[in-house]
Amino acid sequence: MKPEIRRQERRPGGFLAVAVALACIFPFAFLLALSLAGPWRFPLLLPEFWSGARWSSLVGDQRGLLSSLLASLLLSAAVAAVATGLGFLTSRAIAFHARRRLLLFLAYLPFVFSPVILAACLLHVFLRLHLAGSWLGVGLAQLLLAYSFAIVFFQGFWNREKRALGDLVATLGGSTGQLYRRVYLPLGREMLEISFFQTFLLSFFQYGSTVLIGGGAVKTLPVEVYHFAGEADPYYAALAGCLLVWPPFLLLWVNRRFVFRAPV
Amino acid sequence: MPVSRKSFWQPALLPFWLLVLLPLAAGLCYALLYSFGLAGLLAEGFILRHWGETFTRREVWASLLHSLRIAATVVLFSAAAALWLARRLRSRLDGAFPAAWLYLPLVTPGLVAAFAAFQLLSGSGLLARVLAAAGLIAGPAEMPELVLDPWAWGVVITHCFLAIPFLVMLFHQLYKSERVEEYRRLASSLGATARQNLWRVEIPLLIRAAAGNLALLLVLVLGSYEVPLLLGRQSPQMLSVLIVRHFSMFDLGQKPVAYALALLYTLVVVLALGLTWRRQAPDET
Repeated sequence: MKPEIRRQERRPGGFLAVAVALACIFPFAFLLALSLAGPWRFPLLLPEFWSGARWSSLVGDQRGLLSSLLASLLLSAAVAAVATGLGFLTSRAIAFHARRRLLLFLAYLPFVFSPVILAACLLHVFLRLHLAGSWLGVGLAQLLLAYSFAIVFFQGFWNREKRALGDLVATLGGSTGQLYRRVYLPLGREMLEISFFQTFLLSFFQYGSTVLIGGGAVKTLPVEVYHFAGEADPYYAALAGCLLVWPPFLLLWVNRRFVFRAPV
Repeated sequence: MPVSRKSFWQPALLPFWLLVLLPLAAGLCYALLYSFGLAGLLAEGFILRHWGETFTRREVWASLLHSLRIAATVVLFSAAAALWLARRLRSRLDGAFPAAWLYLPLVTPGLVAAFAAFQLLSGSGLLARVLAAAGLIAGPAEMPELVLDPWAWGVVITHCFLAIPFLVMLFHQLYKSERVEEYRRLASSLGATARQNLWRVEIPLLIRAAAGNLALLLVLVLGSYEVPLLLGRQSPQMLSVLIVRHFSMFDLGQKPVAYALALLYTLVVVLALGLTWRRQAPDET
């Protein structure tokens, strides 16, 4: 093939694509570098030396970061599982409801609300129910957001075809359990996985509502990031930040369709 | 098995009432009662003083305007940048590169993005070091203020970093679903220039289709907390930060103002969501 023809076939924007990719990865590479840095005073462009000491200290859990990571992972997995399961069921009821638009509007509300302002309004209710300052309380506050998100997310799934399938199974004498087990769950598997991933992130990244409802007693990973940043310890804050962002990155890498539906 | 279409009390809706709507309604009612002096430790009967105090405070209006300005700037900058990127990278966004990389900011919490922005943009941050190495500044004091600054550039930049990838992918999808390319070709065949095509065909089609998402982005930035908490100034503060500050003060007299502000914010969100809602076509079911 002649060079000029090859040039014509080349897609435009190659340099820009590289620049965009670098701009997207740079802040995270910088965080990783900061977590591995020795003293890094102004105006040094690079730290005086590199050290894995902070990462090694995770093993002994000296700063409580590993236990915060595990607790955050467990809490978020629980919130995501409940939100996805309930969201799937409730979204069907809303999608086929005569007042669908009203119910969907109500489901949108907590989702678009500022979580921290929502938590400020909810705090008294949680105090009355003795839920403030506990993991259960923080989980329920996060569930409120994640469950609403899941309801909105699954609306696209419940179309006329799914409704017709439900009617068909009912006509053939199938039970509700069979309808879900044999029809809806297999059909909605991919969306259930995506919803689990997204609601997991909603919970895993939550800071404002955790601080207000948890009242300092619940130390999730975002709380630790802010704690170290506030203590002017950028190196440990970067380490906690890495722990917060790398698990979702890895999940995304393993299964890009969680958020990336186009063929890759 | 067939779902009742009218009952609000069907089993599948009960968790929604119990876990979402009931706590939400209880929290907002308590905030309303507190702001009118009907609840809380300092309850003194129905009064409008706290609302009067809220509306006459300079910091409240400054905060509201500051938040609106930041949210509008983020939406404008992000939409413009995303449109430009989506057009320039259109042939590449269906592939893995750089589309997969664009998802990294989408799975990043605001808190971590704000922390990274602080370390990059502050007076002694990486950008200042690069500028110093290039001989453009002599020290941290000469670095232009990009964090904790009056115009909240750090907040705007961080939110744009988080929003642009989402909008790029949105506009890329809309190019296909709104059949922009076909309309563009039609306009060209009728004699439209490239400039006319851009301003009269592409941009209006895409912005109209993305209006709901842009309105939601505006509301989300308006209520953002972590980013302005780390990168914003003490005065004026963004709404969420101001509300939490009043809420957490030792002076209990500030709480009614915090609740009144939270209700004011709720009103703005409900109105914005309601307006977006009205624009949507009636559903099929």
